[in-house]
Amino acid sequence: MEKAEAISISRESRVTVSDLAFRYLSRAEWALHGINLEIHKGEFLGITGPSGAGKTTFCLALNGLIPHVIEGTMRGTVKVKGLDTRIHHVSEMSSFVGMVFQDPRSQLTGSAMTVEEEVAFGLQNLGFPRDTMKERVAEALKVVGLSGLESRSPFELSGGEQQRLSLATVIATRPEIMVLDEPTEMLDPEGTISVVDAVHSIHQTGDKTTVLVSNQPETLLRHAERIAVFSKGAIVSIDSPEEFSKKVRSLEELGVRPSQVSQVASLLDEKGLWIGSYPINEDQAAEIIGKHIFRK
Amino acid sequence: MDNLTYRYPNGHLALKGVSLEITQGRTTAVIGKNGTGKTTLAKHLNSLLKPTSGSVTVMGIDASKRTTSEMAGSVGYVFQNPEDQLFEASVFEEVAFGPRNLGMTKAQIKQSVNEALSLVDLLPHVSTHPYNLTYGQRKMLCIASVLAMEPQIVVLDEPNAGQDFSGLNRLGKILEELNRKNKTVIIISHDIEFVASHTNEAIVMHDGRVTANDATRVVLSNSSVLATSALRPPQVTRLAIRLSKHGIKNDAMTPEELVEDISRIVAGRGP
Repeated sequence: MEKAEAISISRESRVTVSDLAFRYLSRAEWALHGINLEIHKGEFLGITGPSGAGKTTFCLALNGLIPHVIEGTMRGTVKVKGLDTRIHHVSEMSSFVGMVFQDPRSQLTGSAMTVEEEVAFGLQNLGFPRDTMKERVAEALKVVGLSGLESRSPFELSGGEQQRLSLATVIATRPEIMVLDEPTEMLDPEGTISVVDAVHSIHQTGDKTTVLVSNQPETLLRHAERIAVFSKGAIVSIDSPEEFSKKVRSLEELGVRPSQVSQVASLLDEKGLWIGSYPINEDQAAEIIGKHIFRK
Repeated sequence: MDNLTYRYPNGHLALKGVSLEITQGRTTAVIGKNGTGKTTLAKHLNSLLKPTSGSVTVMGIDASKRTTSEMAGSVGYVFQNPEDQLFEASVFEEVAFGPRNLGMTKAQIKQSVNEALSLVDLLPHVSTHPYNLTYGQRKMLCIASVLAMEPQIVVLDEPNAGQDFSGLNRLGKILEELNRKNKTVIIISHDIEFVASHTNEAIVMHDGRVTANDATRVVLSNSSVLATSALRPPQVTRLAIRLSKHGIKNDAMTPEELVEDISRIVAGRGP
């Protein structure tokens, strides 16, 4: 059985999206149409696709911002832990869904004077006692690599630091479900890896469910168990990393960047030097090419 | 640049004695971790910043003795953040601003604007308000605004961030076109795969200093130099390095190059 199917069958559903469609107010086209997806408890789901494909719109529907805050027309349903987002408000959903937006500046509360206050804000809203808050804030800042910047103003930080701050504010509340919309756009490669690995290690503590949107193939393939590809408002495929890696040409046509090692496998195939499978990272690629081509 | 140092007003010493030459007519990448001084370095090229000590000479002119607007005709600077650059109400007006200020005629302005918009694939949006463009499109608009002035030197600060795959391909085509026109291009980027396939030379910065300045191929296949700046070679180059024990060259910059090299070895083996 394919790994992707195995996941679907064995775990309970955390998020059920049925025939979701959404059109922003005063726009003619539908940003999402006919979205059906189940995200399972404990799953680390990757999402990718070109700009404008609907990835961010989809994320906004996972905690009730759509339909309660973002104006437009919503059809279909989104149920998170069994709760219908049309009926339950954002404040209720936010207690267990943490979201990091693509633009860190849209996430800043604007009312916090310091980085520390910014991270504490969400915890305050959830009624955490002071001592616990201080611990959580320190821990969250450490995880994202911002320890030492507690007293800086959020607006003084660089773009990359603001992105890390957004992530810290979400991590601090330890939500059961984390939705991260391109959280590493402005980070350098080392920063990207450390943030994604940190997210994954948090994911692994206690049955968390994580949705990570990225257009960097190595980031997706690193931890995602399934990768959903969005295009023009629809999900065109949901694959295991192995299946995703096979689709070099079709991904390129959709405007999705394939990993370099899968491009190598595809080009070798075109030259009659097929290596037997599509590697998902460089370790696999070195091993497979070594065996099949150099017989060592 | 000769022994360039720069200290920000808040005391932070961002550049600690940088001496380098950037080759005319080539595309040079500036890479390094966040906070190592890449943008600070680049801002000296069009006199946005003036050296604390040392000198910056651009096309024979001492840049510290010129204002940014004096340099604007020869050095085009595209900011990392489109919000820092965009201010007009339509795409056309945004791109026409520079040429107008350079004193081009109406006909010349129209031509420059249309050429620039065509290159960044924004012609269909000529009357759109920049706010209604996607982030990636706004970044392209900034590039068009600079290109319309036809500067000899173009500086792009993180043009890759926020671009999807087709945006990156478009960016690649823009660089090819600038290269064809013999422009000198400096690109600050974290996208090491893009740097490998689209630039001729690479400068590595670490903690306010230049730690490498050589052909891209040489710099990006040198894992130890990159490691000191917490960078890694592109995935395909890392794979080539792993396969070098089989006779593969360790400096493949693109999947195509690596596959060519593998084919070469297989063909050389005979039946």
